[in-house]
Amino acid sequence: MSGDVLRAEGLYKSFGSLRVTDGVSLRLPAGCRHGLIGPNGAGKTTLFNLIGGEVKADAGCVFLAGRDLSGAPPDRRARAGLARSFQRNNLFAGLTVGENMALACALKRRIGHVFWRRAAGFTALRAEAEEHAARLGLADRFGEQVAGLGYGTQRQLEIGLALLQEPLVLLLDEPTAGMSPDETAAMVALLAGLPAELALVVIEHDMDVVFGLADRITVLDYGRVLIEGTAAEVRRSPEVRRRYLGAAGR
Amino acid sequence: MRSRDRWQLPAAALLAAAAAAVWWRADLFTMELLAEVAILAIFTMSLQLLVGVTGMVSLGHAGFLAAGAYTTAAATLFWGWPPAAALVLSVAVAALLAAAAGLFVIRLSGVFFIMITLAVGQMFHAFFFRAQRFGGDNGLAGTPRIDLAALGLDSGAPGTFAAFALICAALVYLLLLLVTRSPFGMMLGAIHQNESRLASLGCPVRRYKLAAFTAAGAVAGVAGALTAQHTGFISPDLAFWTFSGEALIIVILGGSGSLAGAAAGAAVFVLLRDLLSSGSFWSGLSLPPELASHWQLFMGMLFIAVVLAARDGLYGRLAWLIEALHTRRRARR
Ligand SMILES: Nc1ncnc2c1ncn2[C@@H]1O[C@H](COP(=O)(O)OP(=O)(O)OP(=O)(O)O)[C@@H](O)[C@H]1O
Ligand SMILES: [Mg+2]
Repeated sequence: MSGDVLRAEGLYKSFGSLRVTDGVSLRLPAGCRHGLIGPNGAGKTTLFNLIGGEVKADAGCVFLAGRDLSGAPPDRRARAGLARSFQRNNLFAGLTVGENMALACALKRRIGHVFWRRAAGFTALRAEAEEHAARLGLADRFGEQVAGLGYGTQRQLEIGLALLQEPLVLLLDEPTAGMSPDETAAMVALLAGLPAELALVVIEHDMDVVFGLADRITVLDYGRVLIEGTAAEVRRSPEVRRRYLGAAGR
Repeated sequence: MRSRDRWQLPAAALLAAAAAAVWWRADLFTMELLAEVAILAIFTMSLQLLVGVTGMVSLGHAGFLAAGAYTTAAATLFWGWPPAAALVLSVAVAALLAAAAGLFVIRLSGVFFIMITLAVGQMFHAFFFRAQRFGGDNGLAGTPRIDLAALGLDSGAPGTFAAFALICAALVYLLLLLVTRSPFGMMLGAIHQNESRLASLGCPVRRYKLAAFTAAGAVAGVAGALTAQHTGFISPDLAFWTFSGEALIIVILGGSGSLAGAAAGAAVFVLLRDLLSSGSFWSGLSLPPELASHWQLFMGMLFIAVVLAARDGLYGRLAWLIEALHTRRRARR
């Protein structure tokens, strides 16, 4: 229990009269591969926003590596070891791929406040950004402006920025959404090769991707946890079949 | 936008060379204009750090310039401080006030940020307007200039003071260039682009904005101290929002977050104002010299024309010019 790297307890969130997160708890041991599924509007993204601090919870708490981060803003949570990617690409569109990556690198290395030295003087920064670009298959796009890139490439960068943070816990919101089959396969391979000790949560509508990746799965429905269990248990659950898998048909 | 960044230094060098060339041949009156350009450039470059770099559109920046000017006046006239020490104090006071105001204003963004900075600037104006010790709305005359006797120079001479102001502007430019190109400057640019994602990557965005606001205020304090030294005269008008607005227009005219652009904008503004407000210019065009009193109208029209014709501002045009010269010379080889 104390081995859980992320512990979210009794999270609640309403938008007006709409209860979007209704008492959700989530525990992630180090090294877990967790899938988060549920129909559209189930509150999956909102749950990420509550864990990440982008949206303030009405009630509930979030512990990361034993630290209480319940009221903390997103940047504190990120520095404590949480990283996330967004459902909709959320990048620095006017900058190049390399500059996007250098930002994430600089923040990870805690040199964002350095105003007395040229960024170009930090050669390690550029080297690391280039290395990561190569790993993500973005090496030949390094100098290109993000706004001019295709959707799939932007998507890779979206995930890439979160990976660059070298987090303890990584939340990916529909990483393969809108990607071509080739790009999806490359992303799945990339996710399979993530550090073993990392705790990973993936929201995914592509059931092949989820069941291929996750060892445990949480199914959300109307803001509540419908079921949480191993991939096999979830697959067998008649309720999930009826409410979700059957309906989605994927 | 990024590829143009490589012309930042050449553009600045071109400006510096132009300033030096003008200074070389200038008469006394032109020297006064040069000093004014240099001081205004310091002010607009400091605003550029907020507006163009970080994306914080302030309409109260003149408040910090005025704070610097009043501090220099108080320290020299009331306490007998040497102007050089007063300048340092001016920077410290402006920075402190900017930090204090920043604690509140950086919580807002967009139109709300514009409105609250406007209010802060007007608070400075109201304060100085009522401060009888500083002459209230009449202002205060007699602030001395920096003592350069140790260098064998007399800062009372327009040429000497113009050179001093230009050197200050060049130093401020280099300092701000270093800041904008540092990791911190990268973060400020990223705040402009996508503040919430930067926070999700671990950047304490508010603290960085506060730092930027404070730094910009400090540099505005330099411009204020030099203003008090240059004219010897301070008045609440220095804090009035229209001055902040002018600086904002200059910065936008300067273009695309460029420091050199902000400096070029300051030069164009001062020179145009001088030209358009002189009756002889208008009579030279066989037009009624009374038009000179409407110089602000013509300046406004010109600014609109420039903004429409050159979206990327003066810096964009300057970069375009340098690029064109560069490629032509290469083609000839
Ligand atoms: N900021 C907000 N204000 C008001 N309503 C919101 C807000 N964010 C989300 N909602 C609502 O909350 C519900 C859950 O949204 P959420 O994005 O969490 O669902 P999701 O499970 O991620 O769905 P999808 O699979 O479509 O991404 C939806 O009905 C949505 O309209
Ligand atoms: Mg979603």
